Amino acid sequence: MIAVKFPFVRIDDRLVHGQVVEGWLPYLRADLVIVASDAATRDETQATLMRLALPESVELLVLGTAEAARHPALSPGGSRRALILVPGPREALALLEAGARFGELNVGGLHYTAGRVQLGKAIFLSGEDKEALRRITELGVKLSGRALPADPALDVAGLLNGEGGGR
Amino acid sequence: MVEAAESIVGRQDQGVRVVAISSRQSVPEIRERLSRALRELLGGEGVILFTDMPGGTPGNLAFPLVKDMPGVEIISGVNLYMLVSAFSHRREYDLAGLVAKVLEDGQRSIRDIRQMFLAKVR
Repeated sequence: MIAVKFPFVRIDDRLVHGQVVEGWLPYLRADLVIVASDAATRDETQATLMRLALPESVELLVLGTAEAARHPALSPGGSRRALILVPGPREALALLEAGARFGELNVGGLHYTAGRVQLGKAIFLSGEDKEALRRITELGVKLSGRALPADPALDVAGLLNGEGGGR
Repeated sequence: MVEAAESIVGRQDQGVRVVAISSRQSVPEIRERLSRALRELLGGEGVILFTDMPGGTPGNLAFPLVKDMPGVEIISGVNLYMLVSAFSHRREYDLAGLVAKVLEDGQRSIRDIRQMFLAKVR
């Protein structure tokens, strides 16, 4: 499959859901999930549902992107087996701009909304998403499109360039 | 349901057959399709046949076929989490162990979400 480095950062607009709980968590053997989303910090119902979906043994933090970026798990040499979930490319970029460090970004689920262009099976991108992903690659982060651990990786950066448009 | 489970835990490249049953099919036809699916799956470490409900047509037609077959178990009340559990653990357990795991996980997945939520927030 893939060599995992922690923190493992994933874009998924559904945040904590079946693919994450049944697919990624056992695969990563993560003991900490950080949801980095300003919107999610304002939604206690969603936070509780995410807590209920995760095993008791897994710690869950729902933090704004600025606060998440300061968490030790997002620093170089962070020792936790941490899975970081962000709802979109914008939040992933915000983490990096606020000082978080990670070498790879898993582009998982960005589901369809009107005006978004399809790149992979569950990857639909708006112009703003593409711009944010380009900036992320410019910061030296590798993008890999993968819904589940066993999926073949989709070269998102290559597709972004190959497609050429969006600006 | 198989597709949804695969989207959660990954594609099952082999060892899964779906037999959809409708009222437009005759009983011998359904029986034949069940037998064919079973024949295609036998020879491995075992088969679990999931059906909708106890006393439903799929189970009623399948049970006589598998009653005396070693290595075939039949479980009713299939839900998405039972398939997720079976797909996740099929390589880890033997047939009896997997049946026990799937029954436990399936039953654990039937919950009153509002009550669960309220218990969490008190």
